[in-house]
Amino acid sequence: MINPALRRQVINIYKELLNLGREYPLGYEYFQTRLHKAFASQAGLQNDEEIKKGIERAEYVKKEVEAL
Amino acid sequence: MIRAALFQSARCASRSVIRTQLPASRAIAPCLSVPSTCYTPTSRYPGIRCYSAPAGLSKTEVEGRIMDMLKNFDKVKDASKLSNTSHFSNDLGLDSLDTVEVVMAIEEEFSIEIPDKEADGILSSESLD
Repeated sequence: MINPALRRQVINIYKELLNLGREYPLGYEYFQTRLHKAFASQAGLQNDEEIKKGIERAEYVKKEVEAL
Repeated sequence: MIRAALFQSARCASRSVIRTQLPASRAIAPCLSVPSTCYTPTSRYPGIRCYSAPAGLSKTEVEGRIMDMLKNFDKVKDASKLSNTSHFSNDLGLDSLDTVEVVMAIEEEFSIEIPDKEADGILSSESLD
C-alpha cells in the first residue's frame, strides 16, 4: 500500500500468473488457491526492497509456469 | 519444359477463346443494353447489418449478470449479504487479491478491458456502475 507503483506491479503480475494458470496441469482451481496463498503470505511486506524481491520471485515463477 | 509447353498451349487456347467470343459478345450487346437501362438497383445489399447499432446493455441487465457472477464466485462466504451495495472486503470477506480476480472475471464476462486506475477504484458492487 505504501508505493502505488509497486502495488500496481504486484497486481499485474498476479493477473498474468492467473492467466497462465488456466492451462496448469493440476487444474486452475489448485493453481489459483496456491497462488492466492503465496501472495497473501507476502501481504505484510513494508519495505520497497523486499517487495521488489517478491516481484522478482513472481517473475521467476512466471517463467517456470510458462516453461511447463 | 513441360510447364513451358503447357503455358504456351494455354495461352493459345485463351487467345482463340477470346477471338471466338468477341463477335458473339458484340452481337449480344445491343440486346442486353435495353433491359440494363430498365434495371434499377433498389435494394442492392439486402443482407446488410449494422453491428455498431445501439444495443447497449441496460443497467439492470448488467447488475444481474454481475450478481450472478459474484454468487458463483466461490470465496463469497454468505451470498445473503450480497447486494448492490455490498463492499467486497468489509461485507463479502474478500481481500485485495480476490478483488483483482473479481475484476478479471468482470472483464471476461463483458469482454472489456478495465484500466488499472479504474480497477483500483472497484471496491464494492456499487462502484461497478
